[in-house]
Amino acid sequence: MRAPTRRSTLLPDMDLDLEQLRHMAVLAELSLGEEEERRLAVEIGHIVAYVAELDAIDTKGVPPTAHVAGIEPAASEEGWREDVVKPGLSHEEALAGAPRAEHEGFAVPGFVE
Amino acid sequence: MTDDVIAIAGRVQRGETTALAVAEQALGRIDAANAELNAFLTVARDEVLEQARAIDAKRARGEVLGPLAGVPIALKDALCTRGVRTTCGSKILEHWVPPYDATVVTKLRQADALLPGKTNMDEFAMGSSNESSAFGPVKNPRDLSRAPGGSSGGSAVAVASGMTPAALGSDTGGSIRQPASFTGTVGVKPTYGRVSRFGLVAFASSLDQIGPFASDVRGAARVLSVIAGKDDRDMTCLAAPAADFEGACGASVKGLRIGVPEEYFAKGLDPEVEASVRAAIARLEADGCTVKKVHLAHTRHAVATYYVLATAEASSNLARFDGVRYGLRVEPERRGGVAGAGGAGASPASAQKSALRAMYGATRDAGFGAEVKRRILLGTFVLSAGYYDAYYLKAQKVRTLIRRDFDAAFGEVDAIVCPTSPTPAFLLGEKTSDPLSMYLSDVYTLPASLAGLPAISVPCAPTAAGLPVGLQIIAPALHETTMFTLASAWEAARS
Repeated sequence: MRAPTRRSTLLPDMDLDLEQLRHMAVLAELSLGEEEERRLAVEIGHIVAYVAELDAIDTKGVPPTAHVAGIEPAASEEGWREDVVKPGLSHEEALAGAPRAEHEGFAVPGFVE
Repeated sequence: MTDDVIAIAGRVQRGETTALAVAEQALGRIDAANAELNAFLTVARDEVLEQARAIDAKRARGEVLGPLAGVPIALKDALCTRGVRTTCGSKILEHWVPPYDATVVTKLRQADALLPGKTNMDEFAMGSSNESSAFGPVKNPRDLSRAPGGSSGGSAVAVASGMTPAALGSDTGGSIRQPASFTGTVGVKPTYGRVSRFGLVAFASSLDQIGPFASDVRGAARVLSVIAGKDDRDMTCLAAPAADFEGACGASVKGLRIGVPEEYFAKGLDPEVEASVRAAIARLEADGCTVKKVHLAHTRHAVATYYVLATAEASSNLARFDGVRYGLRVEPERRGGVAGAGGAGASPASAQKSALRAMYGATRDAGFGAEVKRRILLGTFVLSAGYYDAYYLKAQKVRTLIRRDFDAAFGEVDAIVCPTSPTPAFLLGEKTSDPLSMYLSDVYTLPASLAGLPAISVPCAPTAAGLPVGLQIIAPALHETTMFTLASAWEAARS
């Protein structure tokens, strides 16, 4: 990955090389071809260099925003709703979109060698 | 005879026309124009005719019809529709048929709307031009060589070309407002939490919001009033009762204070767009609004903030597409007893993968397009060990600063008025080779998304070449009524 044009004081090493890109691909469960890896490394390197501008902004004492709405129902007027069992998808409906279903469940390839 | 939402619903309710006649007309228009425009990915022909007959039968029985009686509404293909395939613009969901309806779809059905089909979009709503769709780009009916905007490009074009008087889209960083601006339609992003997202394929959950497109402001207000409201199946959906959005249209703007942010008239703004937007502001002032300069100092950091936060959330949300429960599955050939996902050039890591992980990797490689992979990898990077604080947490803090800018501005004004997009519709292919230049085209829509605020794009005077220009009106949270009042006043003044 090309060295970002802008260096960050916060980050010891911002040069994302091909190895790092491959590590991200493993974490993201993406099997990429070699040429695709090279192209993505360059493109993502450019974007990472751009977003590094955030580093220069003074955020001392500023709390992070994860979410703009109050998502804590306990803090709202109504509180948590009751845990009531309601009808959902049938077993057949839930399995209808599966690429492979066996023994009334989702079938997956082996994961123990 | 006008073909807008309010007029059609009125004629069907009064029995001056039938829902069946309206449905057939919409299907005829889609058949005539879609081959060229590529706005619809799926036309639900049998389903919409059946809905129309049921609505007509309901009226024949003397029942009162709903507020969207017989109004054809196109649905962005990110919204789940029971029994009608939902692709989200991606190969990974090309043949997926949801077993349930999104809450907004249920509400439209209950309001007696007609649902003629599913519209094209950037893959997983990631794009600003509709060119990342796995099913080809949508064309802008105002100029076929130009992009319709994105990601809800198909919904915008369905309305702009007169196939349907309204449509639903979703807006994460401008995906309703920007295509509305590019196509000369009205597009609304409601307050974050105003509309349930249950059944919307998730992109960035702290930003995604569903909203309407319509050929006029009042029509958009009526559709929003139908889809808004609390839903137990979306915990981010607010309990706030829906206000009288339609009633706000046509109210007086006298005394309303509008803020003009200098940062939105900066370098990179097309001079014709600036002139058009400033003319609209002058007209609102002449109609009795007070115009005041405001500062949204962190505007220029919105693109960086957004592309850290949205990609982080997307990398997590899109983990569910793994070839197990729904969608595409690709099982790579096994070589020498080991799944070799990448063939001869596979990295050492993939050579040691289990068959299950090789299937994940091959499925996601084949199913996702270039832009989606780019964003998943960027999101994975900003969340990864050693980078989380520097990128993700930092962006969340800058998001707070962007919100505070708006809080301060709304202490002085009732709404903020600015351009929706820095340029009119760009050419198809113009920005596809440079992802960053595509991202920068969202600079004026991202801040309101990050702050969770409602915003509307309404057409103002087109450029000399006849390209539409959008006027963006941003209101404080849950104050959509102010936004509708100003937008409808401008719409009336313009025509």
